[in-house]
Amino acid sequence: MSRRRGRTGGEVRGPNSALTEFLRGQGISANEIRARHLERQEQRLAMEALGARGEEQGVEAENREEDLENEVRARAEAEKRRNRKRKRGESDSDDEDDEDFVDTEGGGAGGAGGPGRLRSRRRRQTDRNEEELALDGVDNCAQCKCRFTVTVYTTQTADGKVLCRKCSASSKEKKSADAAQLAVRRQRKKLAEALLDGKDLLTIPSLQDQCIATVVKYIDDVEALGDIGAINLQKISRIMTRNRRLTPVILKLFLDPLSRDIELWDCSSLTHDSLQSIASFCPHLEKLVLGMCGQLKNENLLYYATNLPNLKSIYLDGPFLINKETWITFFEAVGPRLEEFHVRSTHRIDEEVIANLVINCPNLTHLTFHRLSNIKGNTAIHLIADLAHLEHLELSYLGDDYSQAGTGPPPVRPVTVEEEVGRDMDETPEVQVQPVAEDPVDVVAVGDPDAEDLTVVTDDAIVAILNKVGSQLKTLILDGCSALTDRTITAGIRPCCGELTTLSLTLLDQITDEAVADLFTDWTINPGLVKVSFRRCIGLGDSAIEALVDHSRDTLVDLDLNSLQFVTSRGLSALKGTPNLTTIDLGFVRSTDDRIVEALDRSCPHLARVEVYGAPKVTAACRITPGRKLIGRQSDTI
Amino acid sequence: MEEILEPEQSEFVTLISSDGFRFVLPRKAAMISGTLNGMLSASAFTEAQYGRVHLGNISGELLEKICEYLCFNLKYKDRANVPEFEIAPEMALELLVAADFLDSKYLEFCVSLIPVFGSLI
Repeated sequence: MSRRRGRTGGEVRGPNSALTEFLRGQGISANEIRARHLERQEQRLAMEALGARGEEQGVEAENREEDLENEVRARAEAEKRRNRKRKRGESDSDDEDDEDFVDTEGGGAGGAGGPGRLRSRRRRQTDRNEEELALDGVDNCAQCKCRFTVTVYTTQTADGKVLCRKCSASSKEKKSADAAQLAVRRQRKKLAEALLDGKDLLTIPSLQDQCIATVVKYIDDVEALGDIGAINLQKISRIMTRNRRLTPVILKLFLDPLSRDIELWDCSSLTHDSLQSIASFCPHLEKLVLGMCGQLKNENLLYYATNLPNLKSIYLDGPFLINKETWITFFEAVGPRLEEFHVRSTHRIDEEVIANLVINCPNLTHLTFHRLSNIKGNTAIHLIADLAHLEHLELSYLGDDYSQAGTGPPPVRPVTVEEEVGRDMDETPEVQVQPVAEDPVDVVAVGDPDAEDLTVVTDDAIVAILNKVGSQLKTLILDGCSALTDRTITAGIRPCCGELTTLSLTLLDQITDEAVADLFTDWTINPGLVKVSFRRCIGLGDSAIEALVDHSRDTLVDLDLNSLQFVTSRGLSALKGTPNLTTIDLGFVRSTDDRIVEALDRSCPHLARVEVYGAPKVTAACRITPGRKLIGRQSDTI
Repeated sequence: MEEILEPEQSEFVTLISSDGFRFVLPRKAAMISGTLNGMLSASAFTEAQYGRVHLGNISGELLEKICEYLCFNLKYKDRANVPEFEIAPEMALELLVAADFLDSKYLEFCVSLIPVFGSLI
């Protein structure tokens, strides 16, 4: 009824629904949909008829080919006729049509262009992909070569071939299997990332952390953070730094006039104007941390000195625009109120600057000199002994040797054949992230008389410093002072450092196993060390480790034994007896194996992180308590 | 006068927001919050006796989200593939302050930082 009315355009129509009107406007007509449906029905019937006949007569291979061809031709013929009828406005469906279709199967002729017409008829409604398909035609499946009817739902391969229903279902399965595999891979990658970041995926992050994550995500829309507490502020600031998004606009969120300390670990995107604004917004600052502050200018530092009357502690990493005169003026301006001075990575600090620091700031308790390449001799280091209140001393990677980090040749040391083989084994792609890679490596020319003069940190200097201030020192970091020998330990650390809790001697390759063992044997003036790094002190062996554990058994929390090649399972077994051990680095200690790691896991209740890069005997079979991090296994590939 | 329930008898507790909304949730879920745990465990407090906590500084909207989180935490604890917990950006900062109040785990956080940053500064 409505069907008839709709088909002929000129008729007077009754009231239509909005939907009908809309569909008409879009060129969608119920008749066409119906026609398509009927077509499909016809085809199905034809196929059934074919199938039935096949069963009845038995399968005759040569005839079937021909029959199918005829079938197609006949179907096209029927189609053509129907189209013609439609044009005439006749009823487009009756049983006769179907019968006609079946009957003509024997001798249909001509009919060329049927599918072509079909295609043109459908083109209006189908999208471009489907246009390619010879819809409602019969085609061979690209995979199983069977004959089947092409419909709108037929899937196409990448090269335009069609797949039958069965094959497309199996290809879908394959696709979903691929997707599942991809998801697994992604999950594994996520886990590996979390492992390296020290995060725990099994525990649910606290609501605070979730809120902070949301705040960070929308940080550009935040007008003011408000009174969220110093710790939250610090957390957000650290995340912004880690994402390297600390811009002048975002910096303003962290500047609270009442705050007493501020830490900005990445100032590389801050202009000198915004660095200046720190001091104008927060006049009560006592502690200031500026990491990567390459844009800090002379006038900024002087502004801090004059406008921050309470400044006690300053940490500057990479302030290479600050010249010598400015440093000296700064020390004169802050004078005795400066208690902590940490400076890293600049070539503008020389011996004169250090001398001025020592003279002008006698109340220093914390002092860090890290990677200062312009210090040429050891006279300035001797002066540090005059800082009577010193508690924290770091002198690491000083002098010209370390000016080009990471570009020096590898350390020269005798390598046995077994080691060489072992190393080749380890240099598989899995061990790409080698923590030692960041450490600068340089040849220490001990016997060279010219180099002797340039050595910045010498045994004499350290022994002199420790003899004056060693008794109150809590932290001593002498990383990369490769000129130091056993004398530093026997004449400096052992007799003087009774309060020491943190000791780091990274890369001191001249110190021997015996000296370190002697240091810890009956070291009664010191109640125990908390954090110890013997990273790449390649002379050390089992005796040193056993003596250390014997001495600091109850206090040891953090231990770095990276690259101690002579340590065997005997020394490592001694580590079992340390109840407070939390973090341990056993990277490139080749004798580390599953048994050792599992023993540590069992006996250290606070253990949180074990690094085993380059320890090939730690295998996938190593079982560690869930939640604890075992990082760097070769088997942990992403 | 309401009947006084022994804390271990009642399986559910009621949290009441500043604007009077009541949220009834499993005791186990409420115990995830350090502050609520303290209030509900000490039997001397009326909160513990009645199993009801008035949170005068938290609005109903925030408390709803907090209850959602507590139940979320209870459900997905020690399970892999935890879905993301959605927080509307406009409430994130207020929620942060409320979460701070309810969960005083910062002591742990600070202690955990000592080995990491102790040597740095």
